[in-house]
Amino acid sequence: MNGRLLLLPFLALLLVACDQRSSNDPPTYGVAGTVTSAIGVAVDSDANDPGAPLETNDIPSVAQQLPNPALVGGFVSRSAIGHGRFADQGDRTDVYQATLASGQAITLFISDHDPADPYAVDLDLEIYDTADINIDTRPVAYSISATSGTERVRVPKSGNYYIFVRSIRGASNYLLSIGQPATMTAKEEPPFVPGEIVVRFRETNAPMRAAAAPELFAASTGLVHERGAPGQPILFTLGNAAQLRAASANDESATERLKQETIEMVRALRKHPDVETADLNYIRRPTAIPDDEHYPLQWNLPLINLPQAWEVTTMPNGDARQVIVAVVDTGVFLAHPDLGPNLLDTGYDFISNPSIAGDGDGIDSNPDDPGDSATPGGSSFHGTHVAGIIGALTNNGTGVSGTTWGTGTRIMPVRVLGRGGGTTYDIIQGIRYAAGLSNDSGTVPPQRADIINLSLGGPGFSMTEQAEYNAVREAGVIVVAAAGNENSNLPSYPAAYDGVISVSAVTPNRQRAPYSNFGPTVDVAAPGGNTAADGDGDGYPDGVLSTLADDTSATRKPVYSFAQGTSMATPHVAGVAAIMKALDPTLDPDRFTTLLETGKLTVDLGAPGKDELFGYGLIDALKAVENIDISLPPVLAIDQAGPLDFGPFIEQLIFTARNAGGGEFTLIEASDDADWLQVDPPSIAGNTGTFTATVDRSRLVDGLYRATISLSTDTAASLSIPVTLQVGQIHEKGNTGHLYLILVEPATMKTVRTTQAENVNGSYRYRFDGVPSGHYYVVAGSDLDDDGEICDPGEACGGYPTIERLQAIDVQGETAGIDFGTNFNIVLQALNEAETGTARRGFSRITDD
Amino acid sequence: MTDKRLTVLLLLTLLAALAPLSAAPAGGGMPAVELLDSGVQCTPANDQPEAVLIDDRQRLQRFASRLRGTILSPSSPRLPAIDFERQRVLYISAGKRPTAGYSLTLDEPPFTLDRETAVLHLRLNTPPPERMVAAVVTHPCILVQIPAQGYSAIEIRGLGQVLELPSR
Repeated sequence: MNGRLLLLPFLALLLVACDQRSSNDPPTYGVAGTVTSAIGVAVDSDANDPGAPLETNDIPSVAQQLPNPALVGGFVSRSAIGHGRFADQGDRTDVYQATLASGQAITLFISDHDPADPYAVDLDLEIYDTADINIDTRPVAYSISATSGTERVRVPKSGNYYIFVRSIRGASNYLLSIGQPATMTAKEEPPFVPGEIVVRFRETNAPMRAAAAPELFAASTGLVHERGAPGQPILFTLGNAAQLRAASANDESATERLKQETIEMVRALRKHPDVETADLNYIRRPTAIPDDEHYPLQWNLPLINLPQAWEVTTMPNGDARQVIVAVVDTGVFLAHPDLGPNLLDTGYDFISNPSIAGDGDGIDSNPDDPGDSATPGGSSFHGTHVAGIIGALTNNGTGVSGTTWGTGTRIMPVRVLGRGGGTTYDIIQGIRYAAGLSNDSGTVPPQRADIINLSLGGPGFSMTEQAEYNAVREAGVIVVAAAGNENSNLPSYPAAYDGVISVSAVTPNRQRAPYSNFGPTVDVAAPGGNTAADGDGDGYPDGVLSTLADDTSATRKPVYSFAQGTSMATPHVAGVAAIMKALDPTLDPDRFTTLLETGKLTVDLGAPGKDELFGYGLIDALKAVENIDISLPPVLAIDQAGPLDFGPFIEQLIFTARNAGGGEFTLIEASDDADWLQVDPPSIAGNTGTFTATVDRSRLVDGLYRATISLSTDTAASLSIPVTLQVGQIHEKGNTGHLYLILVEPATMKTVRTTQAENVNGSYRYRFDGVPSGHYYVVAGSDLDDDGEICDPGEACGGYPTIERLQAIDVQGETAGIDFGTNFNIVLQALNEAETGTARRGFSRITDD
Repeated sequence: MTDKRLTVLLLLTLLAALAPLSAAPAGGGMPAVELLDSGVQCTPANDQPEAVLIDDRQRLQRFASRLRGTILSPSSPRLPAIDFERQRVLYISAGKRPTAGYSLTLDEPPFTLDRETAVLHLRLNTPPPERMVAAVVTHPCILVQIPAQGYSAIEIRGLGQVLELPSR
């Protein structure tokens, strides 16, 4: 007899005992069903959940393949987090590989981002060309905000890419969304003033406490009270005067240290019993996006922060004073519909030689450009292009946008260039006329120009010319001229004359344009373009797009065309000068020069300070507006840069509108122009309104949809927010990763049973055994961060019949067919929590017993 | 007839055909040398002068579109009727030029034969040195119709450098 036979009597007794116990307990049953992954979703193959399958994806050679479009749930950690798969070491990087299309947006939603403590977690997003990756390779696009809850890049060109998700600080779940072909504007780290903190004290019954005495509070905390009184936000600065001085002197390391100290102080103040709120003093950058058809191709305008400046210029009740920019050039095609109303009828034609003029006569009062070539199709219509950059009709739903939107700027066309160019004598006559000085026409315009744009030049210096430009400047006219396109440091005139602002050209990536002249006479840089490249992958050359005429046929036709040159850069500077003049009519050439030379109008490029490539740097419309001393009326702005992009999966987004100017307003209305979009009435707190936008894809066929949300207020300008939506045609089966299924008791929301399931061809079969009769919610979700809760932000989640509307099942016997779906639902949950305090975090995957 | 005799006869026939072209500019019964179209903001393939011999309508369409390549949504170029059995089209770009005022035209005579090499004579018009000019980068280019036969190579002169092309 062997040992096994000896066990049989014992096993028989055990079975009897079990049977006797179960006959005394309430009956239990099985609950079963199938969970289906949403299509197009995938999961990080090395999440922190030790129960999930593991395939490392830390480096490109083991990159995880993704479909396109896709929504991926994942987890990264900078260092060991003490539990789960990465208890002892971090999982710093997840690398994915996908074939991406030009223009697609890749968005990283950082699930554990906390707006109240934005520096606790920082994840970055980078993409690399798979054909060009080694230790020295730089990403082709990246988004590395230190404090944002989202990172977003746009794919520059169609191709195969590695997508890197990196943890820079902390640990977090994330959602990676691929496949939204909308044009996006990269979000920058929210800037704040180093060393400054805005505090609001608690309402208190003890009026002599800190709430009533900011100075006492400052003394006790080491801060300095700057402005504000109890009952209002109060501005404090850190007491470290030496660091403040160093930071203001553009010492980068001192600035960075001061930023960190400021953040630490904010964290400390939030724990102070007298403090209701403590925040960084953010520098808000509102944006106004015009609705012109070709605006998305005008990379040159956001490059110099015009949308932010336009938020000021397009405000209601602005100064209606007319600013005039004289375009001294080939004349202008006066019939171009995108220019017409912005053209003054006080222009003039100063070409004295009929053979150069090509219009049959000498000087006359008609600055219309007949073309500068006798050959059809051979004319440049250069002045028309320049005029459009300054003053194309903007926000009229068609054509291009001009730099001076909202300012009342008008163009004075002055014709001096014809076939083969123009003479200095004629040009002098043109600038004298524009400046209201005596000239060969025997007349002057009823209102002189404030700014003269000279997108022209030549090599010869002349004392006579210098004297004329001195006279024009003394008349109060700002003169801006092109540095030339010879890729040379030889001076080009009139740009190189004293008193004339000389403009070099940059490409979309802020590099000196390969043709641009340089040298000591260059004062400032501006977008000039590079038509030989398509760096942004929009399918068009990276030239500057503006108005033009096409005379290929017998008649001139209005068109839009890309061009490159310091000719194109110059009107950007003239346009910014016009914006400044519109906001402050006292602006004169000397003050413009002073502001330029003190870095108030530019973002410094190249060597610090003035250099020979970029002068004082790239012209910046926002800095120009900020440094004009004006009293701002209320300005409606949203924090979102670029469109509200629902992509292929997002159903709801929340955005906040606020007053970025002075005074007050009441948000009164939000509307939209699409039946698949709904914007709920806002919740308003002071000058801030929080809106919830929801989309309904159920009646839409596959495709990309666009709409506009319009906000209007009682006192500030209305604001249009573009909305994009993708209804995807997706063939891949989804995978929401390793799932935990739980039964939840509805009354207590306690988890009473758990099981697990793995994805098989997009679905999960599950079964709970031993379930007592009763009512239960059935929920499924992943636990990527291994915190014991499923359905956290960034984790898969589903429930019967839907997670949004759970219904309890009634278990009175064997129960099958409890089928439902899981997905990664992107509501901006961190924002939602911060704004409403209502978001739930998840369900425990651990039973309480 | 021996092979040697046949070769000699063919050579004589070829010389007879080429002789009028060698002596005078192309013309007479030959297809006309004609400037078909020109532009100043042509889409550049590179910054250097270039020439391309076009022998089918599809390529003609492609290169004709370069003449208005910087215009957003240009209307389709109106292509001339070209008999590619008898004619070829040359696309010639003057390369990148720093300002307006540059253009390409046919010189006089426009087309000669130098032995078996067809020579297209162009003029690159430049802005007079004393003039002020618009500071926009330009890429002048033209489309020129030439005969299809009667030469084994093509030279293009007048661009500051000589461009050479095989006849096909």
